[in-house]
Amino acid sequence: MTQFVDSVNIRTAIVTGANGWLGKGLVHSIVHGLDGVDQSLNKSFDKIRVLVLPGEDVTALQGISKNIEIIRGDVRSPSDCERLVNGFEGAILFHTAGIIHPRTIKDFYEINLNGTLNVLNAAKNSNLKRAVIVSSNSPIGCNPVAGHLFDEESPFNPYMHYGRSKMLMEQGIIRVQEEGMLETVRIRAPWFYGPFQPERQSLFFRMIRDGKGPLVGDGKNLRSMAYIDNLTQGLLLAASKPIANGKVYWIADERPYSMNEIIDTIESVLEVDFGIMCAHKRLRLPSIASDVAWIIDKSLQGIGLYNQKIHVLSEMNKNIACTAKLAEIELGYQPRVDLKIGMRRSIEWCINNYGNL
Amino acid sequence: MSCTKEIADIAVIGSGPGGALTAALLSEAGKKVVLIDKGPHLPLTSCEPFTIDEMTQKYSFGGITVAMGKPPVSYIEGSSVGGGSEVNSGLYHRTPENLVAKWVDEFQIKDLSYEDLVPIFNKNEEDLTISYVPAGNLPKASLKLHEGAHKLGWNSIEVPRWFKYESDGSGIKQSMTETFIPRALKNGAQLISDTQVNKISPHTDEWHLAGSKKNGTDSIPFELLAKKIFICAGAIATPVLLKRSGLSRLAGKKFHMHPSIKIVAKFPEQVNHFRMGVPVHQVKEFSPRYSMGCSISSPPYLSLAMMDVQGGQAIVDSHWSNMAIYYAMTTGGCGVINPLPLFKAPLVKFRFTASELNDILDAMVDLAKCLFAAGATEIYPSVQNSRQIKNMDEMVGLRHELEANQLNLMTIHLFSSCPMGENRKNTVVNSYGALHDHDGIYVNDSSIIPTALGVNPQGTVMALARRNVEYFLRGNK
Amino acid sequence: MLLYESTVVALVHTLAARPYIVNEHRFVLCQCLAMPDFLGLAMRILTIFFAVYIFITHLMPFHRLSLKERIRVLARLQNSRIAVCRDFVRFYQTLTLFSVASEKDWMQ
Repeated sequence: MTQFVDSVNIRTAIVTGANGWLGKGLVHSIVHGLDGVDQSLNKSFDKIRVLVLPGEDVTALQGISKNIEIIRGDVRSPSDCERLVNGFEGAILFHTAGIIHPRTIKDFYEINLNGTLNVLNAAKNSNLKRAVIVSSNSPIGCNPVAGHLFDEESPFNPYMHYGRSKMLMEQGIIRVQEEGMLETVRIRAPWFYGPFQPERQSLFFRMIRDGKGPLVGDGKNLRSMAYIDNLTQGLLLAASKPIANGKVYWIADERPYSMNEIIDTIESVLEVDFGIMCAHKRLRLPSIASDVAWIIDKSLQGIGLYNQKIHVLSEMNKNIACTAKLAEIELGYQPRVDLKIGMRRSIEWCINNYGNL
Repeated sequence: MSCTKEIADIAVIGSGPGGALTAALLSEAGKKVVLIDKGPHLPLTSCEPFTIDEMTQKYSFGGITVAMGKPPVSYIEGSSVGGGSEVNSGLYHRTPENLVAKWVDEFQIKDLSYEDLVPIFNKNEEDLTISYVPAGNLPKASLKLHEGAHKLGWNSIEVPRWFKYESDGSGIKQSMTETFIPRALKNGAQLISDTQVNKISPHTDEWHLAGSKKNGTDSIPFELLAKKIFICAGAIATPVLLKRSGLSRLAGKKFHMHPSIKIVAKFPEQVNHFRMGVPVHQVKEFSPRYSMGCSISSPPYLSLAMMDVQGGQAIVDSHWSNMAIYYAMTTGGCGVINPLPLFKAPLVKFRFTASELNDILDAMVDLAKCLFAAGATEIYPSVQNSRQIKNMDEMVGLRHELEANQLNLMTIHLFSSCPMGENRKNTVVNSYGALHDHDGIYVNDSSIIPTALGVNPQGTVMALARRNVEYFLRGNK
Repeated sequence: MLLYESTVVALVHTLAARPYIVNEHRFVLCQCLAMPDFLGLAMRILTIFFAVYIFITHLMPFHRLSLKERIRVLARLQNSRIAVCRDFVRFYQTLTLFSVASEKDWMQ
């Protein structure tokens, strides 16, 4: 395995967005390792240095490890980015910082696009070895038909402004790669789930318990999901494999799930594993509800506004599914956790950290 | 916008077997030759043969070419540099002796006899390394057909290929990109690929070629002046060019093919494996009416051949290594090629008489007989609404039920769209390929073959091409 | 994705007879571009006509119908007395089959 060392022979991982859901998951994986993977992947770093927004509570991060070096800053500030990476030649950057549900549309581009370019620029100037950047399914849009899976050759077809910001981000990364001074790997992550999720996830589990699990249309639309440990495995592999240089990979669970299956699985786990009785009903909306939400979402975003609930509703009847076959072949990626086990761990973590549902 | 405007001694349009040989011999004789091909210049090894990659890289129009009719006939032409020789199986035949005499009579071809062609055959066979498969490496599926014919007392032969074999049966097909194209280039010929010539017109003492050259996703205009032109663009494209240029009324008014019907056979033992090798046996008992052979039988091709059988894909999934595709190649039918206004591709139509359709059905029945004699336990004729056939009674029953439009016919052999000879009623070029009524234009590809051959045509294409070029080089028109 | 492309992807998925397709549709779309221009234009018009017809009769585009419904639609066309309906399905079926069979791992 390639050894990534900085100038004083210490292997350093630098993580942006470390206080976010995925960021914490990644830090946890680096510190404590992952089960069931090649042991050379675990303990690949001696030091972790993270970027956290000023004023944010870092208790959870410090709970993962007392030895994390915490730098306060914002990716929108080029000087903060430079401060983060300066002096860490040869280190690996994991860029997980980004915004999914902003206050205004402008935020998408300032954070997802400009923030990323700032970080990459700084990494380049400080001679970091490689940057692994978390992208999304959104630049590729929605599958035209249930049963079609995106792969790495699927063309850009961004879904709304989030997708567009991530597409522009990816195109910016490709330009950086072409300059040849910094290795880059793009990881496209679909809907992820698992420990370290924000409290709003408990609402989703409560809705299902109370018979209000939302289903738009017939619920047969397919969604790829990525359990957080599967995703962090992908990120760590992308950091370590020489072949990954300059490439893009989808990382997801072994197969996509229908919305029916997702809600049925959560309901079953709640009852069987946690003894939480569920109402066994669904909050069904006709497919047209998503289509109308799509029109409203597009119009709102067109005038620079964003409404999270409308946006989420617009996506609910869509097919967003991918294959991680290339990562399996080239990186040795093996999704270890499936939906049932993943949801069990998610719900357990929610209960342990936020109290009973 | 940029364009090329040069004057060549000789422009050769098309680099298939006719054009490549023409360009090589002319350049070896010291002529300034520009060889133009509409396709890309790819090495033989740019893709595995008989695969989806080959179809997208080297087949004309992606392989989706069809002569309309009842039934329609799907055909394939090669469209990279080297033409059909890059994509065909490489099976070699000399021109049938009896046909030469028939042509001389019907088309009034001067100075042509089988004996005259023998030294030409010999020279081509040497240049193309015509060889038989080394002992012990004959494909099993091919041998099965041979066994079946033998059991029935039918004449069956092993056909040589233009191929340089290793002792284990592997080797390199001697396609045009392996043989005559490098020879032409070595002797100073200029190869311009990705360039289509759309029109030829007179220009003072020369001929003016106009067309377009691919430039990424765009194209740029192409122009060339040449003192003489050899058109070797294939049986479809050659008459289209002549017609669009207003140079021949009769070009493309008639053409012939080898419409072939296929049958999938399943045997009790393994007959097929990955990279089996091109089958080389042909049953000649019923020539020239029809002959039989074994086709490329890779699993994807088997899947296609079994498309019309209910449950066919499951059968291929489980039993492909016991299965192979066989064909019966007929010589009947007649077609017409018409350029269409506003469109680049021509409209190709093909018609059969009732008797010619009967020949196809008879050929299919005889092929079935041969396969059952070879030990096939079940066969699946490649017709729409096909079904499993377990014996000859069922086969004959199917034959009588079939309607013409159920037949799935295909071919890779097309010719006779610009027949050669002195009979002005039925020829487009003279006895040596010179276009009637115009000085300095010659046709030297499969278009000039006057009738359907009944054998793989590349040997004849190249024999006539060499004959005509040698005549040209002796200072004759 | 435009109506034409989405319809072709849906046709390929329906005819592929497997739960997922990833790139099998690319060969089909590629061949539709490569084929003789007048045939390609006819096929494109026919495909769009098919897409619009299904939208009108099912109040939903073909690519958003369930797999079961798509199979039913194509089965009806395959058994139609109108030759152009049968030929339409046959065209896509041939290309899809070859694409799927070429992608398949036949060693297993």
